[in-house]
Amino acid sequence: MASDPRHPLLADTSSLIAVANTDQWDVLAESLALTTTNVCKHELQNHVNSNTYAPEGTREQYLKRGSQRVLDHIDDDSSSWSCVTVVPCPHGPDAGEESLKQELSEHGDSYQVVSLLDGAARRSIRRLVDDHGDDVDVVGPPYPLYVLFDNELISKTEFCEASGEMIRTEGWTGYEVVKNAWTGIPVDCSEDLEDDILPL
Amino acid sequence: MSGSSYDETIQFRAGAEKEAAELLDEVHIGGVNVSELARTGLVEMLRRSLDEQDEIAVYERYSRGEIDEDVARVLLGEKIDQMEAEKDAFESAMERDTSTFLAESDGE
Repeated sequence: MASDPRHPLLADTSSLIAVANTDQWDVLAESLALTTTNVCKHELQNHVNSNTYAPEGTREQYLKRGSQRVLDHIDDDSSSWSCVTVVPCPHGPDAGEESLKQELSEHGDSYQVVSLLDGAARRSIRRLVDDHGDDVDVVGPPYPLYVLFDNELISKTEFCEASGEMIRTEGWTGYEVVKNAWTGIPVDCSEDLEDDILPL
Repeated sequence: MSGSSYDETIQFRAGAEKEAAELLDEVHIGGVNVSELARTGLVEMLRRSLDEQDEIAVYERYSRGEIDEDVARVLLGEKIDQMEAEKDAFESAMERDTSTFLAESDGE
């Protein structure tokens, strides 16, 4: 595993799985430097272990494939992704989110952007960041893809397709973050997407 | 764009339900506001009937200006405000120098 420098982009378990399942994963893994926590890494490991025989096309297989890709990359010695250890180690279904909160409480000034998939988790962490007065933006997983797009490492079509896929797999949760990524840029993805991604 | 007004009415067939509402109005201290109950109940059931694809479709129409905010708000509630917060957060993150997040930028 890489040593544990704190890169300015911090990501949680679900956010990492979401980007790892896109067609832009290889570019993203190679080009970005980001940080996650030992608790999120443990959650990724659990997804791999508990979904050993997940059938193709299922949610379980999606979680397993994404988790395995991220783990392989974090454990690669040449990787610039880092995993920081959070103490004491939180437990329970929100352990990943809690570990990000602990990390931000202690090292908030090391980060600029936090990427989380879950909307409630983003709102909760936004409140924490505001309370601490840290200059940190809390956004969804389209942001790492936007970083690639903004640095001309992927095309507009590739950005649209990769982020659009999150709407298909995550429903409203994905739409909430993808819609605002597209509105923010702004980029018209309508010509790059299949008709069924955005219902009329 | 549709307009919305509380002069508009919804009518539906009710037998035992109407009698039950009238009975409750009679026996409950101070009575009950059946119209208010119906409005609140309808909103609750509309939201419960909405699946995620429906929510996306409603927000798409709202963002294109095809339906009023108060109509979208009946169906989506606080999700409308949450979308605004997400938009602000993403725009703020976009203003950063994104090359900071690239692997080579921190000398690794």
